[in-house]
Amino acid sequence: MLNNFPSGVVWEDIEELFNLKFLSSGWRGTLARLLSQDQVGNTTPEENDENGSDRNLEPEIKPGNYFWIVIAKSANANIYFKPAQSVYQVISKSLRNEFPEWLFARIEYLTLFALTLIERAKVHYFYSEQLVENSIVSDHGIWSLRQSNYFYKKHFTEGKMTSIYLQRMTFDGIKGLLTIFQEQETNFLCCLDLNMLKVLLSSDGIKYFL
Amino acid sequence: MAIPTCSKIYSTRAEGTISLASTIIGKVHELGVVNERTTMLKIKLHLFIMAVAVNQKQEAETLYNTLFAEIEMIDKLKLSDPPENEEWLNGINVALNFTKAYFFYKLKRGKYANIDHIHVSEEQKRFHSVEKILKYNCNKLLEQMSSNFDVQRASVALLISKTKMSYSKQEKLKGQLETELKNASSIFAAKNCKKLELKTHYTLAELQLM
Repeated sequence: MLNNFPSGVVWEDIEELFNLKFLSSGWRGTLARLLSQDQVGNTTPEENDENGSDRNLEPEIKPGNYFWIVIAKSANANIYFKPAQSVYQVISKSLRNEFPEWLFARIEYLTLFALTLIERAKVHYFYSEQLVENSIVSDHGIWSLRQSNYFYKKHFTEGKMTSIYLQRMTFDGIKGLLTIFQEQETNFLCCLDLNMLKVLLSSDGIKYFL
Repeated sequence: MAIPTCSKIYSTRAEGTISLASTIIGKVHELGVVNERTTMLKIKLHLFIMAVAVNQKQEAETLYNTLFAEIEMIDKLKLSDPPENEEWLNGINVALNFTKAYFFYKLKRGKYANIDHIHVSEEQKRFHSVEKILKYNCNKLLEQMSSNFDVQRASVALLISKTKMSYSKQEKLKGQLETELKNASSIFAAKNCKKLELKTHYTLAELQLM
């Protein structure tokens, strides 16, 4: 699942994926076990000190270059998980037909993430509707979300969207949100992959288009 | 729509945002799914491109060509697979005509480069033609539409007021425009459109100084 996001995810994203039931309850143990089995990428304690303290991490999950994933500290000091390029390519090309539910989870989480980024920009007055807006910054007229939509039914209760960690963060200026957007930009763009969209259409994912 | 909207808020390059929206239209077209939802999505993306373009300070002729190419594509989509919901169809027409009126308003105010080179009729360059579009192609439709379009109504009222104030200094206008602007301001306040609310108060102040 983590290898499904080409520009990576932060620790909080993984926790949200678990909260949204896209990851099973044993994900921490599974992740730790996979990393400890990875002989190639195991880092030494000295390297860990150089990469920054791992005090905030689960004891078994350490920053480093593993065979299938790179674990590092991001610009805003979050722990960042980025898939190895080769592994991502294998997953995106070969496994999309076998595990379409990964694609559903990704598109659903990134939609929620993008809508939260828009909502945060409005709440903090970093961006306000223009006279000619024509985007979903507007929540009226033809721009309001369709309530019969699958996503709306699942993630909106009495007009309020499912809360993710961005809603609990405070931002002094748009820069913080901008960094988060830039970190996720490649993930957003992978939602536009035509082959993936075709898999969605030919399976249970058709619900996203109804 | 969430991803291009994020790009509009957070990306510094308007061309990149327009290109992203065009790419999505192409992908939706390539998917070959033709239904009311995909047609609405494509129309919304064309309207989105128009809004991003019209808010840029660019060459008048280039912008005119961009806008009218988008309008042509929206017209084709409306003909090939018209939305069954009449309010959606009217909503599209209002958004389209409002964007067009805003372009001519800005053109007349000299907000674009090389205005002399643009090939439009003298009639179109006058404030009266802006007012005509707003009255007959926006307000007439909005009269029959639900309260979900109140912000659009207020936006039309604001632009009509600004247009009238640009060419007429008649005392009798004051009372009429003041009422309309105050109504618009209360709608923007209720819908938390702070920028538009401020813009309306500013226009009210200008009206007092006329």
